[in-house]
Amino acid sequence: MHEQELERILKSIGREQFTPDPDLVLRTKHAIHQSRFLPAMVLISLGLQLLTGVFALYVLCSPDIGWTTKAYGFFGFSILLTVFLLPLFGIRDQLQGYVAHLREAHA
Amino acid sequence: VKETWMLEDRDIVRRCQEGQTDLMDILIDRHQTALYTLCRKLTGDPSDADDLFQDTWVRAMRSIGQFSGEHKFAPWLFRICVNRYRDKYRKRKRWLRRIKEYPSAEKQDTAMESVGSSDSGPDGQVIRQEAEEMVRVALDRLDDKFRVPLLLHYFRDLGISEIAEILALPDGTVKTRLSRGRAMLRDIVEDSPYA
Repeated sequence: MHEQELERILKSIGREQFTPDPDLVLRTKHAIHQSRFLPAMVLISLGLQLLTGVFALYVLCSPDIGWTTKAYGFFGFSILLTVFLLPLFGIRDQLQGYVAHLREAHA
Repeated sequence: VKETWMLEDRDIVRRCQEGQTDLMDILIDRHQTALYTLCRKLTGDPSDADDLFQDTWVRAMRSIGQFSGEHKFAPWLFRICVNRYRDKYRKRKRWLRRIKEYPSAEKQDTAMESVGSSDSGPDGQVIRQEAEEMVRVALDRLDDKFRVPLLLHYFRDLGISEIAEILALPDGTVKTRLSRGRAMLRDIVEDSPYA
């Protein structure tokens, strides 16, 4: 293959343009506006976890609270922790799941 | 609305940095085709391109404060896109490329039929299409080190300095990679059994 021919083909490939789906553009704009609140959401979640942790430690160390109550408290704390941790680490998966759901619904 | 549409990218970014993040929509509308085309060319897959497109804009929004305004907005955006591609999609692409090395039976038949036909008329058209297909396959088999500069160079006619800025490489390295990339491309095409 001649150099000029290769150059012509590469230019022709380079000229090809792809237009994004309007839904993708809309979803992107939506994701950008949502991402503004992400740091605040993470901070709130971390703050709540810290408070819960401090409270759990207080309950665990307090001599006035019986071991049955402590066990119930520990059980409740683990549920609370799961509830707060899931959105924190699962946010991306949730968003991807939502996007996949939208795609399916659109298809 | 008209007034904001008249604004240059630089001014829109400055306003975004000041807190008017709604104006990011204008930048998306302006650069959507260019960025999506780059995403498609880099990933070669519509679904991955969609993810890369969205990811790039979210990253751009997050780091909008770092845009100095000394350079154009588009190369800055492309740089984010190429970096995201490097981080996320390159490993997956290596697998895809191995599969793509084997042309489909249909393509092989068409290529064999076109051998020996004349260069003009409908047959010439077929040969040209086949040659283009061969270059596409060869381009896809090329290492990203050479493929990405080639894609950027022939995509929107980006200059050496702009590519160097996007890839964070010295101008000389970009020139070398472009020239070596073209030579490797020619070798792959010539080594192809249907060349």
